[in-house]
Amino acid sequence: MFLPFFYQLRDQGIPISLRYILEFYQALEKGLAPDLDRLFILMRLIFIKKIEHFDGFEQAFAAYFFGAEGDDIPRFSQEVWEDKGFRRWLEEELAKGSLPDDALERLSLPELLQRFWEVAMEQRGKHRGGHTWVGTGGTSAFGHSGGDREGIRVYGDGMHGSALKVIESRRYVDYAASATLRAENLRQILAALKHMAPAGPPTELDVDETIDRSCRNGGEIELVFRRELRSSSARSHASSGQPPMRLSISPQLKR
Amino acid sequence: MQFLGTNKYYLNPELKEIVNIATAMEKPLLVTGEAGTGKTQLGFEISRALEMTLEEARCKSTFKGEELCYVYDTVLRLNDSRFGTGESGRDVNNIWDYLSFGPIGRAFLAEDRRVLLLDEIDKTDSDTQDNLLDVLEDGSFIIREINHKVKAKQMPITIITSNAKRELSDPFLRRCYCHHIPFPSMEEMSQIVRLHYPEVSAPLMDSALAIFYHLRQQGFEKPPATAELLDWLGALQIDGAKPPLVPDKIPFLGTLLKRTQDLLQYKGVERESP
Repeated sequence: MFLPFFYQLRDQGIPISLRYILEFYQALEKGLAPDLDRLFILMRLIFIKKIEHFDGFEQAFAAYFFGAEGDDIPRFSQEVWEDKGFRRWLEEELAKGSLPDDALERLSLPELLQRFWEVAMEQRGKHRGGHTWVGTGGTSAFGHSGGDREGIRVYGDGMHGSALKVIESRRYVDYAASATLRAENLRQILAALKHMAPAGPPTELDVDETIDRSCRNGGEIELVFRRELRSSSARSHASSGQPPMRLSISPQLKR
Repeated sequence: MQFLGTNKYYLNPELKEIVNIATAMEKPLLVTGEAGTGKTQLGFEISRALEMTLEEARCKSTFKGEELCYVYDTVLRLNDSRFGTGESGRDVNNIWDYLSFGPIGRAFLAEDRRVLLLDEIDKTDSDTQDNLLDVLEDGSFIIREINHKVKAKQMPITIITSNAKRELSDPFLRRCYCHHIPFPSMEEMSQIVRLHYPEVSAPLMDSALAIFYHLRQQGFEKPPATAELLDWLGALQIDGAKPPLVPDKIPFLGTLLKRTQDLLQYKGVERESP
């Protein structure tokens, strides 16, 4: 169950290990995911450990569990019609002229929704280089088949809203690894920088120096060692007045 | 056993689910987020709501992992062996009299299930965090001196908070559930304010919240957080300020903006910055 979804997450760069998957099934057995909203929360807790993956996961979840597959569009209740995001999109489309002015009368709700999903999928596809996430192969356990989708979205007591609303609010988009540098994620980025300073006895072979010295010796091999670079706390160095540190950027920022 | 929130702490329904899942799966819950989003408070509120004792560990940068589990007082034992135990009732031959347990140790040894709060774990160095990995996973630690394994009778509900000053190592993250608490939206914030100041009038609150969120957008070095908002509202209430509040003349600005640079930036928009 859900295996295609996990592979999609991996394709997006979110690390999934077998351990998490087993843990997830344990949680399912304990009955911790009686509805789609709780499933969303459970999956996010178990699989996503870093804040930069949050947004990617949310979008993938929306695409897999609510996404359109060919002609099979989700049929939402009146609530979507009243949803602010959807209305805003409608107004923009009408203003831009991509929807004819009498679209609201001529097109039915399912058709409008179809367009909405197509445009949304396209937008997301652009952001990520055209990668599609709509589940291919296995269907989601909550069924594209079977008529009424409203049966899935059972709201728990006092839940803030459906998982879809949470996903739509895109609270974590600023923290995604692909986001540009902004005030919101400045802290996150500073935390990812590592302070490397030489520490410990000289045990690392300095290849360049070794080659240099050996050549100067006329071929006699002379090994030159240097101290290892270890990450150290910025505070202790600042207070002890040691020479400036070299900063190294951890891999996720190199994108 | 369900955590439903208390009357002094506004609990996001999403967070409630998360706490309940972490409790059911018996895994630690790591909460990160901006200052003032109620991370530490969450630990206190859980213990109040579920009526469990709270073991708190305010992590400082000098903490070693072992201290959180147990401390073996060698010096006291040496002193007793030389000068006698006097009337303290300690027996020099019995090591248990000289072992005292830190928060984790106490939580493990207790008969009932406790709430363990590891506050601001990112202040410790990564070695300490790694030392805690095995302890958290197995629910046990070994007292080196006597090679005795202390196993948790009941896995405590563990809440770990982090200010994200430094990144936590991957193995550490793998062993807990991670949740990032986003800054409250305006609706959530008004509910939080209501819990603390039930009598504040709606227009005053609306205009205060509008100014607060406006200030947060200005790109200050230290944008005002929840705690500052609550202080400010308290000051406004005592002063008896009447809405609407004018954005150009905010009273008690010092409660909201704490850095000199920010205050100057706010006041002197037309002037050249010094």
